[in-house]
Amino acid sequence: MKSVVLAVLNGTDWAMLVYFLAINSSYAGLILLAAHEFHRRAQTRSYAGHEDDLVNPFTPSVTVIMPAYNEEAGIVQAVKAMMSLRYPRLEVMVVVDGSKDNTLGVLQEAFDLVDVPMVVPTGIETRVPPKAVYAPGNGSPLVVVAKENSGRADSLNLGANLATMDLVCFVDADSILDSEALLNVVKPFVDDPERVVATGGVVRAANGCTIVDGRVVRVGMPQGWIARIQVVEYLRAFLLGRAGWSKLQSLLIISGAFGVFRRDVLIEVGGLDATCIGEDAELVVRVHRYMRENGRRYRIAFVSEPVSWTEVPASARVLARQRRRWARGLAEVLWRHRVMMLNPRYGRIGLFAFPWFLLFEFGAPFVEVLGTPIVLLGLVLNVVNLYFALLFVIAAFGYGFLLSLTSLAVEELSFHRYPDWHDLFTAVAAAFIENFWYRQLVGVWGLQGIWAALRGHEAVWGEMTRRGFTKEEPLEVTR
Amino acid sequence: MNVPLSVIFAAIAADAFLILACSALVVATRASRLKAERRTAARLGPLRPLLLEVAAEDDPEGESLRRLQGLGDEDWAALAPVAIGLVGKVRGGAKEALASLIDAHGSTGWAFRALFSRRASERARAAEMIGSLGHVELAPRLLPLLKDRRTDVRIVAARALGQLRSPAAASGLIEAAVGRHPVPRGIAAHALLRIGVPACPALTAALSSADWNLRSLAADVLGRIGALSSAGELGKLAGSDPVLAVRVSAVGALGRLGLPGWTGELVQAAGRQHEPQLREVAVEALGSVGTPEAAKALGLLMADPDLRLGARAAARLARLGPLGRAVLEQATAARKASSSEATRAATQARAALALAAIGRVAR
Repeated sequence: MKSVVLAVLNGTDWAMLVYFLAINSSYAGLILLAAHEFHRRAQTRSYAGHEDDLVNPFTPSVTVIMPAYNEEAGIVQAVKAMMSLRYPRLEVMVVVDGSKDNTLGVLQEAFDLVDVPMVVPTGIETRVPPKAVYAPGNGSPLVVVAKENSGRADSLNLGANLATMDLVCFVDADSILDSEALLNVVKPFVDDPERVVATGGVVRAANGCTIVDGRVVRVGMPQGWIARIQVVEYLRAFLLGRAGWSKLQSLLIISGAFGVFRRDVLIEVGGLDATCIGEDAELVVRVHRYMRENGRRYRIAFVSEPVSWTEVPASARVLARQRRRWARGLAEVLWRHRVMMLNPRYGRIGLFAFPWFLLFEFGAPFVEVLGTPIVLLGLVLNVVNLYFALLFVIAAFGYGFLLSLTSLAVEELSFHRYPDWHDLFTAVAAAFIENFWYRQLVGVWGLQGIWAALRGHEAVWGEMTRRGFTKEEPLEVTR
Repeated sequence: MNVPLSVIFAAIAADAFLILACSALVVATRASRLKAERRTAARLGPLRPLLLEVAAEDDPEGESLRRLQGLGDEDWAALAPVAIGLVGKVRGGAKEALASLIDAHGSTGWAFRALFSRRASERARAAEMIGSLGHVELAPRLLPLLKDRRTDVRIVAARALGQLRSPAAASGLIEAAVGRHPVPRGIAAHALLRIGVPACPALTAALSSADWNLRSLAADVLGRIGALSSAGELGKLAGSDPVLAVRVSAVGALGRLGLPGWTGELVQAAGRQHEPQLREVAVEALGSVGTPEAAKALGLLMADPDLRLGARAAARLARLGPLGRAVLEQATAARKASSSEATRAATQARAALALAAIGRVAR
């Protein structure tokens, strides 16, 4: 019996080692692909043609939809910032999702809103109808929709039904977009109008940045290590990881904080699934599935240039809630669309992206949490020697740290958004520290999220306290 | 389990080396970038005001221009991106002065040679520069780039041809919108639109192309140019082209031409038997034509079960002035009507009137 246990432990240790090598190597591959893409884009930046797009009557029009729940603190500034984005034909729509605070009131006051008896076209099925639709008295292209609380996804669906433009852009009420962000993220639709059906822009952490009039004017690192580590994590996973997936034409996730969809396609696929907590990823997967099942040529692209800045959780409590939600969302998406797994009908999505996400995103929390204890147990039971443990540390943590550093190097070469040397060194320190408690904690929260998905508990988004983007000082989020 | 010590050492050494190399790369990249930025800023400091004087035509003696023309290579390297960026944004004398500055430093010659470069980014930058400088005589040199294997080069070439407004490029731009390596439709269309009336013969010929993409593109652009002489051809396509996209473009173009004589065809295109895309464009077109017949048809379309279409019809009526307003008010008066159609029309009319009251008539 003992020999069987030892044999299993021995095998598990090696499996863990191989797993870490495989996941880190796959990330290294994605980072290299992303770096190549960034290099290409850097060369084309000088002739991107934004000025031309601004005056081109064939540039698609965009409705920016912002769901707002208890966003009284910063909603006015956020709307003003959205309305001042550089874009030729733009409509901004705020869907006030049954806020308990005075979100609607501050909007009414700031924009002189008047009630308009607008007819809501049917398209995507929604849970609740609008209670009222408002527009500014001066005719500016803003629409404010008031409705009972029914969640973010349902609010966005209602917004999509009311939208009048060619494309819809989903943003969070606390998203801060660079002034050219919309021009950049719509660019793939201009350059490849026949095939592009959705694009996602990169999302970065706003914590620590200086924000004036709804724009990031100075980028900086936040104060706490939780937020600092997320800066590095967002760089590695969101910027480089997604750029790599996009290069492979297998992008499965577009952040809800900054995603653009063709309105007709969005309506065709039925909009966001309000019953799924990972609704952003679910929508992208559903678009892939729909397009492939209907034999349509399409492309979903990630654009690394535009930036949407968003508050990241600064406390462990809020971060835990977010990561449980993400893990649960991923589990739900993989389960709902399990028919795509290893199915040649779905091309590289089914044969490559889906298995990768199952193995390395869904599976990562298990290995992150169990890996180190198992190796330690092996050491105690003398199943593994110290050399193996050392090798494990290099594969799991040394390689991980190297990947984060590589991400920082690519960021520095391509975008160099963080101007201070101090910020740079802080980011390096965060990349190191991440390996020794953050990853394991995120793994535990991930397991909790998966467990919640298995038990089918009702999904709860949780509230976030916004400080509001009105002060000219570095943003530190309190929750 | 035994792991050879050499493997451990190799792994540690490789990891440490890569970590150090990466760190060094980050630091070195930043240090060299900051140094280059400082150097460029120092060179640009005294030159920028001179350049702005030239760009603002505030250099009556031509002294600033002469000083800039005499710059050394390093100073010009710092100033060139700014000057090239500016030349595409100004017109008249300022454009000529900036073009002469750029020519004086041999950049035009570089652009001409770079059109044949093996590097795609150089080909694109060269095309961009030729377009910005307004060298119409070089338009034929840009045409081959419309079939370049790189999308970004094709796009820049099309944009440049549009900036040059060379009528000779019209056929090339139309043909470039299809094929294995096409110029994106919106980019080609905008370039043709910039060429304007001189592009009409080529566009009219494209209306009878065997490729539906070209028929659709040509119809779109002709409508926006306002080519009244092509109305007959467009009318035929609107009514009988087998491809929906072409009919949509043709109906849209007829609307933009705004010829009352085609109202009947537009009303027909807005009929319920047609696809939603065609009906939507037909409603827009009826709004543009604005005849009493069109207003009457829009009034009926407000009651359509397709609520988006109904809202669009109501919005178009709101833009029609007194004629449209009368139809809308008539519909709201039918509020207590029993039929669901009349109720729908009344609701749409009230919404359109409310939006019009606050200046929102573009929906």
